[in-house]
Amino acid sequence: MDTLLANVISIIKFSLETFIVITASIILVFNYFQAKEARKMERKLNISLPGSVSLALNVQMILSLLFLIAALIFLFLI
Amino acid sequence: MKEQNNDFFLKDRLVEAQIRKFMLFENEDLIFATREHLLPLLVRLIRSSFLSLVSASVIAGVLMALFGSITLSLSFFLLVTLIGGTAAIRDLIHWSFHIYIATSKQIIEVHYSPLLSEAVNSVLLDQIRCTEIDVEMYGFIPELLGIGNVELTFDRPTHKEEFVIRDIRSPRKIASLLSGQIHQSPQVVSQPSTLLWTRGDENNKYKFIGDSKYGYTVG
Repeated sequence: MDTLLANVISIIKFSLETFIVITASIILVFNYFQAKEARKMERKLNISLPGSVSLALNVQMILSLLFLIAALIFLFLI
Repeated sequence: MKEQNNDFFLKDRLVEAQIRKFMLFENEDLIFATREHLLPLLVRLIRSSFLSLVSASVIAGVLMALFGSITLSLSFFLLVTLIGGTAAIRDLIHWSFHIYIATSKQIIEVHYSPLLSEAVNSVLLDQIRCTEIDVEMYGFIPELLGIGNVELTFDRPTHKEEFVIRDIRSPRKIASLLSGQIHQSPQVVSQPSTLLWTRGDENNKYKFIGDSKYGYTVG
């Protein structure tokens, strides 16, 4: 019984870890396309985004990429 | 060619050089070009940050209690925070591209949300008749800071009969600028109908005096 419970917890934990990695990938892809669309709209409308917004956009993309890499390493490799 | 915008900080007012692409007519002068005031944006950002931090903390706490895994809890905390950050960035981009422009010839609303929606609404001032210009300011802080809406009502079904400029700085000043411009520009007025019949002198009978230009000639 204890083994069964331990196995169930282990499976749930693995599912959650997979969920984290998949969600992080989706966020990264979404941020990439969001940035790309924003640049496209800048060219189309001839209106530049404020520098702070551009910076936040780039920082968000880098952070989501770093998070994905860290999640892969710490959840699956270590 | 894209105009270089050297602004780093968020500014709600734009200059002519930034919106030149929208000025299509000759002798078109800019009256104002503005975004939503910063305060509603800040309120939304603070609210979404607070919600995402609270949700992240609750989820991390529950996972820690259930599984006892610091790595898993921390990962979920950071994941939810990242989602909140993405939503905040989307809001910032939407704010940056939501612009109201008024020139001597037209009023334009540009509205863009990345990957979700895009709209450019334009009302030509010489094709409409503006019946009302209303200014609304609700709340203590908006009244104090001068944030409100300007509502333009037209006499014909254009732009859903109302053009609302929401949450802008100095709405009274904007309304008076618009009022001055709209009343100045030649608007659509009812053309006097071509007189086809006139009351005769004897017995009040009508006498046909001419034809209209649509299929007939004017007498």
